[in-house]
Amino acid sequence: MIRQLVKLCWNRKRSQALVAVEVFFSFLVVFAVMTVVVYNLDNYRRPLGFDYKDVLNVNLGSLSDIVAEHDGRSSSTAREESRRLLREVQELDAVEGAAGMAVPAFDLTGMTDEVEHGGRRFESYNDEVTDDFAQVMRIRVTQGRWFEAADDALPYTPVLVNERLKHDLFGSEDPLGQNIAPKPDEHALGRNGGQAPEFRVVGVFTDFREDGELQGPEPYFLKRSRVAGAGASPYYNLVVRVRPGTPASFEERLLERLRAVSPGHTFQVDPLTKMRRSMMTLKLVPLLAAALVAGFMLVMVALGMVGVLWQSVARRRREIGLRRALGATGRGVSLQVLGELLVVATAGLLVGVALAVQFPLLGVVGWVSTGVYATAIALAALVIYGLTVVAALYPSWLATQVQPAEALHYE
Amino acid sequence: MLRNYLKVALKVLLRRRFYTFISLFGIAFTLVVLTVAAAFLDHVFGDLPPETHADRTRGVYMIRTAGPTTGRTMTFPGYGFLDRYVRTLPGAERISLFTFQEKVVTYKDGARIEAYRKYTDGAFWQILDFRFLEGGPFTARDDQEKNRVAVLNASTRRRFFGDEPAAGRTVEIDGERFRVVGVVEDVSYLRITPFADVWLPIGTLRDEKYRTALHGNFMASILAPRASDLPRIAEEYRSALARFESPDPKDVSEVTGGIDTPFGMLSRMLFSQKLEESRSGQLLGWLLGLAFVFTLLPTVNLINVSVSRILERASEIGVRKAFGASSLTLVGQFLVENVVLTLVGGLLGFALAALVLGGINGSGLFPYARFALNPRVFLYGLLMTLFFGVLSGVYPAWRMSRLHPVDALKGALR
Repeated sequence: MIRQLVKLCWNRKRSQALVAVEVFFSFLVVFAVMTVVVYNLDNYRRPLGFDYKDVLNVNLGSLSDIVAEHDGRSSSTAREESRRLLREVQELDAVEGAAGMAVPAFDLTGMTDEVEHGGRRFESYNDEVTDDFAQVMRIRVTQGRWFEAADDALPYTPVLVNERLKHDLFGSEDPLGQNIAPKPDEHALGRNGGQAPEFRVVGVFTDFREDGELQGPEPYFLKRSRVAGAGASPYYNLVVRVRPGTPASFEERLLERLRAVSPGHTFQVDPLTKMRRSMMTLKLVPLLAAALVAGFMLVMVALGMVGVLWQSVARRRREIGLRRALGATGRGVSLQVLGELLVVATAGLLVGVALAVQFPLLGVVGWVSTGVYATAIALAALVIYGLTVVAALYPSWLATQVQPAEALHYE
Repeated sequence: MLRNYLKVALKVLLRRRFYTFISLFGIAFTLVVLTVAAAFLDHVFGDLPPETHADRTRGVYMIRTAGPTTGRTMTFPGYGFLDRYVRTLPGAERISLFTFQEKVVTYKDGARIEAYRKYTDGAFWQILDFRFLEGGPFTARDDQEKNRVAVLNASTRRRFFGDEPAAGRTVEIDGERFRVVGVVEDVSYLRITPFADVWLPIGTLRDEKYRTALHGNFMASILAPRASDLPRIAEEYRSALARFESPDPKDVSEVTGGIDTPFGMLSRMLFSQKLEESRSGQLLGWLLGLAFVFTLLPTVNLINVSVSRILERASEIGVRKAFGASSLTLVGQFLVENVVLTLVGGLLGFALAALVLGGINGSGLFPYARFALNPRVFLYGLLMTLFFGVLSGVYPAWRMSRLHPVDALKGALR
């Protein structure tokens, strides 16, 4: 049966080739959309690693101030200032806890540093946080310990790595006590005033996916913010956990308090829930627009296929009539129409899949895993076959309506 | 002749309504997407008020600094840098410095008011043609004397004062009080140079650190007396950069960049590592390439439908061929038919695009953005439609013109 269908299609390969090309392009479109959808759904079901509810983010100082700090001017006063602000915030009665951090969550900016261990070396996102951070953000430590006040005396910077970084850098090795800062070259030494940084792992935490649920699984680590001495820097953001049920008007009170402490500064207070929502909008809107366009494209392709099939049924009335006259059932005829389209679609799909599997094989987009690609390819193929069957419904029904007599008195 | 073709084309379109519908659906959909994209790009990069002198205005939006210890960074320039190397450029009519917008929050009667704040100088209001609803701009003198004055846009006035006039009243922005001197019409969030909710004089910045900064969040706009003066000013800027004296040569030893339009700047950021060359052509090429790739599937779809439709008319072609019509004539006829079809689809697509853009405007996704179909976008749309029509018509027309008259007359086709 299938061999016959293939033969039938092969005999009319010129006109069928175009349909196959169309299926091929459609497959690529659906594959691209499915990859993005599966990738994001896969990310969405992973735990966030922290609790953003009832937390306010306080941004200290505008961009120009921060850059000016980097230029090395008056950074010690800025450090003092940020510490003072943090202490003031911690004393407010509606505040359960507050901590300092360098780069806020749900924000497009990020900090990266190179990490190295046992010959593996790559860039990893990270943040610099104070000791109360774990309690404020409800970070879960799975191995080792969190930072403590006694760490002030340590000659190195203690860090906690997330599960992913632990896996990527150490495999099954024990990460505790290891230094993950890369071996310094002269370049880096010059930058740090001749002193090599040392990041020693004291613990492992589940995760801190700062960009929200749609962020991919990435290596991440948290450095302990040094409050004094060489290498200490101010924190540019505070995270403030308020008691549940605190009214929104507290934001205004908090802002007034901050301004009273440090009049020369611009502060921005945002609930993390709000920052998360705008981050989601930012990520979802382009996705939805692309999905909408792809959806319309598929409708267009389906309609096109209906047109082509209809025409082919109309042209082959004689052939179909003859088959009916020789005893073929209506079902048999409609299956033939559907079968032929499926054969052509498969031809287009095979080429499409052959191209699509290059993505995981060549690792074109590194952060998408092979599993995601495989699921996307399977789903895309399914969608295309579904589309084909739907497109063939009406023309194949039309084919069953051909009367055997037509074959005889045609012309 | 052309009239006959048009008549035949219309008759054919009306005869098989389903095919016409399929074709029109594909064409209209494709053009909706392309037109919306074109309207978006036009809105971000085209010449829109208040940038009425765009033809002779260029900006310094980004610089790239490099040094032995810090490596290379692409950032907004700081005030100190612009004041010394851009404000002094000879040959310019006016030069304005301004910050990139920054969101600030103010509470009024317990309600949270978010506003984007931009610091700028007096020249800003002369380079750009803002429409003032009341009052006027602040001046260079306000800037020098650090007068606490502000210009608001209409929406921000409504948020602070309801529907009442605001000129002369006091507004609190980020904990500081300013006297409102003017209110302007809203300007789209997507226009990098003019956009803000609140404009304040640079002199009122609380911290004086910005005055010497190399990096920062400032930009500059340069208005030339004539568009033909722009290359010379660009050259002056290049030599000014060559004379760059670093405050700390170990940190930053070289600054590169150029003066350009926002589109040109984007092309530099994407394709010119040191920001020194404008690559607008390349960026435009990429955008057109992208549009072409997008139209591939709709084109194949339209070709498929057209081929099916044409086969149905085999006997007509047979007759015409038998009476001596050349292949070229037939190709011409079917191309005309296809172009008519795509033009109808294009008009439909245009109407739908207007609806889609209205929807985007209403969604509030981009504050104050009014995407619109202006004659420029209409022209792009028309060109794209024609291109699409010819592209999708050539193959079916060629297929058909090659039919053998005898086969065609019999209607037996493979």
